[in-house]
Amino acid sequence: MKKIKNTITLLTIAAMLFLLPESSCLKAFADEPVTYVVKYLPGENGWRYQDNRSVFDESGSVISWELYQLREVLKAGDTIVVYNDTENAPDLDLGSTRFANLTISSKAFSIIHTGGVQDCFVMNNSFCAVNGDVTNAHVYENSVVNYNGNVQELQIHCGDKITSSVGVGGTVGHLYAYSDSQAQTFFDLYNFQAGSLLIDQEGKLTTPDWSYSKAPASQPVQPTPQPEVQQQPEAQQPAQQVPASGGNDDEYDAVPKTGESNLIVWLLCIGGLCLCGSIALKRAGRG
Amino acid sequence: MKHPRTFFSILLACIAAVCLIIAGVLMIRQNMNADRSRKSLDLLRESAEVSKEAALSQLSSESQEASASVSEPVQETPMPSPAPTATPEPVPEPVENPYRDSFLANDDMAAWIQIPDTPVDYPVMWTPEDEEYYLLRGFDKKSDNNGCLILDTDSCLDPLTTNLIIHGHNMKSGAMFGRLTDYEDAAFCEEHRNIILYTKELQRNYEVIAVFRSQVYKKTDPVFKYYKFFQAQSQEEFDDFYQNIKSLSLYDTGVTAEFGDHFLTLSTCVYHVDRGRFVVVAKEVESGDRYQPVVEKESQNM
Repeated sequence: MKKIKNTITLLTIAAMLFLLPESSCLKAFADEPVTYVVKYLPGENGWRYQDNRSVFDESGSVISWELYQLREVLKAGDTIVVYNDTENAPDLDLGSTRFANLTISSKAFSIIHTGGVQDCFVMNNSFCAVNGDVTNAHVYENSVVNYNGNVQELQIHCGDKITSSVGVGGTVGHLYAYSDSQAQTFFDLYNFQAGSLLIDQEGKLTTPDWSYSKAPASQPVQPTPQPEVQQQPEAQQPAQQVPASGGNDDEYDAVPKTGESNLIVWLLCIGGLCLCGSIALKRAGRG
Repeated sequence: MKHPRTFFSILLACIAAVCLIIAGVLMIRQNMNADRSRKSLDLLRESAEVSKEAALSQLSSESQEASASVSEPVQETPMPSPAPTATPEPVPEPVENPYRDSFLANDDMAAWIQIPDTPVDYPVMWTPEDEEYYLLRGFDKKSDNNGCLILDTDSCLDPLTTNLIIHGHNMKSGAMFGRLTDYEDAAFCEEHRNIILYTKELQRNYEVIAVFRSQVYKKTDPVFKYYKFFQAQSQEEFDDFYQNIKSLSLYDTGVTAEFGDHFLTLSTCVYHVDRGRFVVVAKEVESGDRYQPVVEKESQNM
């Protein structure tokens, strides 16, 4: 009986320590940044990833994982390298985590959903659309890119002329296009209005003059919130009540959860049931 | 095991004790947090009320002075003016923001929302870098299950987006948006059709235009999603939103809107379906007072 009392006391102390008001100040040390490589595998009919690598190994000697696991482990400092050679590959959804580096080498058109990226590199001859805000975007030669969020700093790298086509759905703080080989600056412009920046495949900026400025603003540009890319109105249907399906949160739009937590009610119910069970067992034992 | 029943009985008793202790501790913590938040908000409300009363009394004394000066006999004969002068439109002077103290107390506060004669009388927080920062934190940034009302990060007051979406918890206690579902009753809506949003710059007034139930949909669902509408770039986008909210509305509020109008959308969780939402949309009408910039008052001894 004494042992049981001690156990209960220990459990109680553990529970109270865990729930102390200041327990939230306990911190876990963050893991080191990880580089993940992601590729669409037609044989697997889906996107797969490998960790601690920047080149996808298809020989089978390295295990590749399903993408949903990447969304669970991805954290702020990580790097993702994306490869795709398959036309009509499904969208690549990297979840809602904002991470450090996204490098894209996509010979076939890829749509990539992110929760935001610090540095985004689109390598030569790539075709892609990137959803989510980007702090620093670098576009290399012969690429076609559409950024659907805001871009703070957009750099286009080129030779003797611009060979990439770039469109941005949000605002752009600074557009800088220069030739690495000829030390020539093609564009050095600021504060593009939302959805206005478009450089066509001949390297011409088709944005009207009034949509940007030639000098930097004295204060950092506040990105104008933009409506996310929406379905065409004709494709929309009136809202319907979809039957409850449970399902993964990632499948649903990100809207703050404003329900009240029922944790206490559940704990009370479980506690009550256990207590009743305990008493019933004790009585049965006596009988 | 000689006495399995005794063993299980003790095990269940232990689990029960742990559950009940955790539930008790959680309950006490929640109550303490809620109490602390309520007190801090009450102080802010009090300060705002004092400011409003002071502004009102100043206004009434000014109007009394004005009427007194009108009633005084005119001693001097006015000189005839050479030409009729145009009467300038009276531009109301900016007044002191009644929620100045609240704005100064927390930079994240975007506005203060009030629905007269309802419990909705709260600060609205805006944290673009982390939308859910105040979902389980009080105005003082400390843990609170009630959280704060949050302005969606895609909404913006400056520059003003076409739609401002405010999310709030549906608390059983009635706090936050716990009483928002009262709007299901058309009579309640008729009595509480006005919503006031006190921003840093001015008092924005709104009138309820639609009330409906909706839900959070899958990313791939091609349906109308009220929570995706923030900025109408064209008449078509505006009409799409307007027609959808009108057709979803539980009743006709008699309020209409046209391209160029601005909306305020209040959204909270309900449980008619998985991820259900209850939504009240209001249209901006004529603004109220304009406010002086919110700055710290200079010290009296300076």
